[in-house]
Amino acid sequence: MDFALSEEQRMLTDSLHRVMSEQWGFSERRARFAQGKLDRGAWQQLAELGVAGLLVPEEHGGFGESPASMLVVHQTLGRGMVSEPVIPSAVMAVTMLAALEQTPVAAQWLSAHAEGQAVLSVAWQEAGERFSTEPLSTQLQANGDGLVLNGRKRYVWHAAGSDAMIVTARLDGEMALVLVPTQANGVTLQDYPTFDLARCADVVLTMSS
Amino acid sequence: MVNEAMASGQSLSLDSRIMDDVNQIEAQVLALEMLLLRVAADSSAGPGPQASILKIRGSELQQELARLQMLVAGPDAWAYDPAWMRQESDFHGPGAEFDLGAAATYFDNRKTTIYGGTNEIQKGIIVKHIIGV
Repeated sequence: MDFALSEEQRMLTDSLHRVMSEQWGFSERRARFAQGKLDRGAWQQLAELGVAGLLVPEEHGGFGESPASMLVVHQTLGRGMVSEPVIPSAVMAVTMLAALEQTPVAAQWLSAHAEGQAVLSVAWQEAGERFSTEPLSTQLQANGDGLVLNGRKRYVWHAAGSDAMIVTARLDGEMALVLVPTQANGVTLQDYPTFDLARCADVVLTMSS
Repeated sequence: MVNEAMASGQSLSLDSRIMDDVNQIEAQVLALEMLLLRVAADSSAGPGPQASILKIRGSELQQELARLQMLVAGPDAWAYDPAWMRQESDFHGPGAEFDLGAAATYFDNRKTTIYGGTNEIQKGIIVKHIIGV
């Protein structure tokens, strides 16, 4: 196995390293998080450096890179103490959408994400649970031609700064994933800070389509 | 905290890895207590390396305990706002009360191995007592 970095990985991390060392210091971080909400300018800068599109497949405008590239990028992001939603959005949500890339909705969000125009989050945790990945009380039910989504999610990482959330719910006893625009009717957020000065939120969902 | 039932009806006391951790730390606390009692009972011996051993193990165990509390609180230890600690605040965080500040306690306890003689200083004292260098 070859563990050396490829030419692309080195170029990607070199430019990222320079920006992190020069512009993403402790005082800049404090200033960003003192705003109490996601700094979209900072997110756009990360997108321009290739972070948002790293795992987005090439046909949707991303780099289609491997987890190995993600590793070196995240080591470099650590230097800048980046608590912007790289993990929930550029890693978790993008990986989930890329697994469903044949659907038009997934394709549209993947392209927007690669351009830095979309921030996504994943709502999978619920109150009273620790370490569980299964949705318990969040239910998705058929209602005539439409669907009804009811539930309450906890610790949705950067929910308030996101454009949409991928919500886990139970549908006929199975786990289903629902893409919910954060500004949609029937979505209520209670936003609060986390220990690393980032934000997360409890999300109440009472929606029908 | 470990026995607290979760929404699924399960509790972390069913998780053998968590319980390994709990039992190991409990055994170490008991061992430290025994050493402490032995040192206290043998006061005629004068100052020796035991006091330094007690300081090091006591500090390290405080850190281990705080780490375990944070681990058991899991994601509930993640949300944090100093305002939730104040009585006038209506909202005390999204998790259970015992989770509030579990991460703060963990980070605060990092200091125990550098105050009252850092681990390095205490180990120097032990070496001096035992081999006299």
